[in-house]
Amino acid sequence: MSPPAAQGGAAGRSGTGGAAAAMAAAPQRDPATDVLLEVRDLVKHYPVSAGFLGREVGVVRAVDGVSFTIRRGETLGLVGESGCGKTTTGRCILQLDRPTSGSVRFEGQELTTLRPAALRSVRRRIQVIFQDPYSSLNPRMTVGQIVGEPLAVHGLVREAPARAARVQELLRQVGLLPQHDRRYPHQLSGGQRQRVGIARALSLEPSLIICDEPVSALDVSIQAQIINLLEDLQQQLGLTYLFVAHDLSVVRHISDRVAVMYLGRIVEIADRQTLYEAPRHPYTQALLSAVPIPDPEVEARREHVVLAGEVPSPLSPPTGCAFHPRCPIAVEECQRTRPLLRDLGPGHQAACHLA
Amino acid sequence: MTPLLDVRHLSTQFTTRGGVVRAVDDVSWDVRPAETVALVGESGCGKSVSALSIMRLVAAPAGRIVAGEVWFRGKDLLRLSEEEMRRVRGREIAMVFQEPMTSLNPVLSVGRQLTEGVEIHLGADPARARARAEELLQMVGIPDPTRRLAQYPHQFSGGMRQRMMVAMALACEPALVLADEPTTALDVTIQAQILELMKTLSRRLGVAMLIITHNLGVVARYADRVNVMYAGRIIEQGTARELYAHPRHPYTLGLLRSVPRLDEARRARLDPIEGQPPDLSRLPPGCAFAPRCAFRVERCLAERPALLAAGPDGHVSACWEIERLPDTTVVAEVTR
Repeated sequence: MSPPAAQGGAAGRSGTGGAAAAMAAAPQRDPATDVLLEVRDLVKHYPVSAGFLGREVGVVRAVDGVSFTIRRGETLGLVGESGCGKTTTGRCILQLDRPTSGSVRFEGQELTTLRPAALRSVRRRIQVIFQDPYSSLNPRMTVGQIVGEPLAVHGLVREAPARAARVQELLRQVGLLPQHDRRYPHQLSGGQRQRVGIARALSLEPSLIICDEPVSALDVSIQAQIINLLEDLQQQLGLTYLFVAHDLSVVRHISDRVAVMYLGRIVEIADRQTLYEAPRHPYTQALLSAVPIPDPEVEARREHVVLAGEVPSPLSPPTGCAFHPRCPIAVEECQRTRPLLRDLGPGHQAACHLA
Repeated sequence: MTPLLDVRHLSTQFTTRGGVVRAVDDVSWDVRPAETVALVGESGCGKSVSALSIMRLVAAPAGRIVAGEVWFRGKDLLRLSEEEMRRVRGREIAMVFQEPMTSLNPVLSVGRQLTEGVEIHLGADPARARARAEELLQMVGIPDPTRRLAQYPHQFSGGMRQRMMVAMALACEPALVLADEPTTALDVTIQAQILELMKTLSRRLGVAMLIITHNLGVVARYADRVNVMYAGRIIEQGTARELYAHPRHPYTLGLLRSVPRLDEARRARLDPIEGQPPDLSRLPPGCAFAPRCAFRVERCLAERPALLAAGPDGHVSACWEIERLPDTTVVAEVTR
């Protein structure tokens, strides 16, 4: 493993002599402006066809104009309910789904126009950790093969003994034992499987990891283990995370900044503290109120905002503000004009006429 | 108060290739009329099998209730004939499952699924049953019931399907509803809607509820009393307020400490329970939690602790080292 400082993300941290030399060779980085990923006006529409001739009868606006940046070493939380477009956003960043329009710049390189061959080398630098470690690990491969395969495919470690050694190192790094390399996924617990998924993601030394609901399939007592592991790895390796999840307590714990999505758009984005302590969008406020707190005394005193209705279909989103049919404070204007994200403070934006 | 449901020394086993799994092992708890009781624990702790055992729905021949009594309104459900049991299910005790799509029949209209039980259990004629179905949909907040009754489950959203499950459960005015992870598959805002609905309706209709969940927040918001399960046994039992304020078992304490809370300052690090949940076919001789426990002593590895008094209002805990436990769930809080 190369020293973390040379892998980027160590901006602002003092390194060893070699790392310092590498830093000097690279252009000077200011941690405040060192943007690793920049997503601009990202749109992903899926055509809906019907009938014998497959005529296009509409479009699902899965992602409808999303912009954000992630700085090196930072964690951006992306929250929202199912169908809000948070997973599609992740897939569009990886170019697993080609965006309909918009731009995705990663380490200064535009990805939306890259050819497949060039994309492969970029994908080495962007890895994914999936929700369900069971369905994302090949049941017929041993842990050693699963973690070692990317190293062989990308030609990073060609000799088998060296590869085995690297696999051992990765297993240790994620808190597994050396002998786990000969086990199959079904012989491991859910938490251990998720550790394998993390080791596989780390094997290619990525700079960005998209964590798509990485703990929501795990037992409560195991979730905290995995979250602590992700945080330790971030510190050790200078990783950057896009943390996609629906559990607002977990997102608050792990994120530096948080974006809330509703029906394909970001409705509020702010640093962690601002978003949780002074949310301005009524949807964010309702989401926070819906999270039950594990304390009966607190729950008895708390006021609960229960939103009426359900998330509308992205096939025919409401006019004006997409949230207005469920919004407790909506006024007439909300039905007519769509509110744009506007600045409410440093780094804090919300898309609401009344915020 | 006499309990409505009184589960005594219930044991349910599954025979697998890996050996005999004691999914539920000598478990006792009760539910009083109109009360909400929670069974909490992680996957494999035996909470769902407990509910299935009460309904006598454990899949034979692999699964078998091997011991215990389940007293409900003066009868032991485990001794009823299959015919008598059928009259209890849906009529006196109803169930709400986690995944509404898999527990609704996709080829029957919503109306038929609602009227079937009413016709069979209450002997209502089709017209009366239909009127009752409309009333039920209205009650659970599904607008336009006449049109909705003619539709099929796939035409309903996830939240609407779960409302429909609640309507089916309440159709014959049962005394007890067993809700197995009723909101786990739903989005946060819909989860809040369904739980509020169940709470309001259970209060209005005087129905007792057993909520089975892994979510400690849901328990805190809705349950009067709580049973915490681990590896097939109840390890702590008490009123929700008492148990959350003074957890007297290292596992409960560990669970409460491991979850981040929105109402507290952000902690620099989470405080997980180390290790993995045990393999139920190879349980250690002593306390099943001992291998993961920070308070473990010699005795815990050899001797299984019984449920002993741990506080007021029937608070009991199965731990030899109750005295050594800290009296609070609060850990040092630092914001990074």
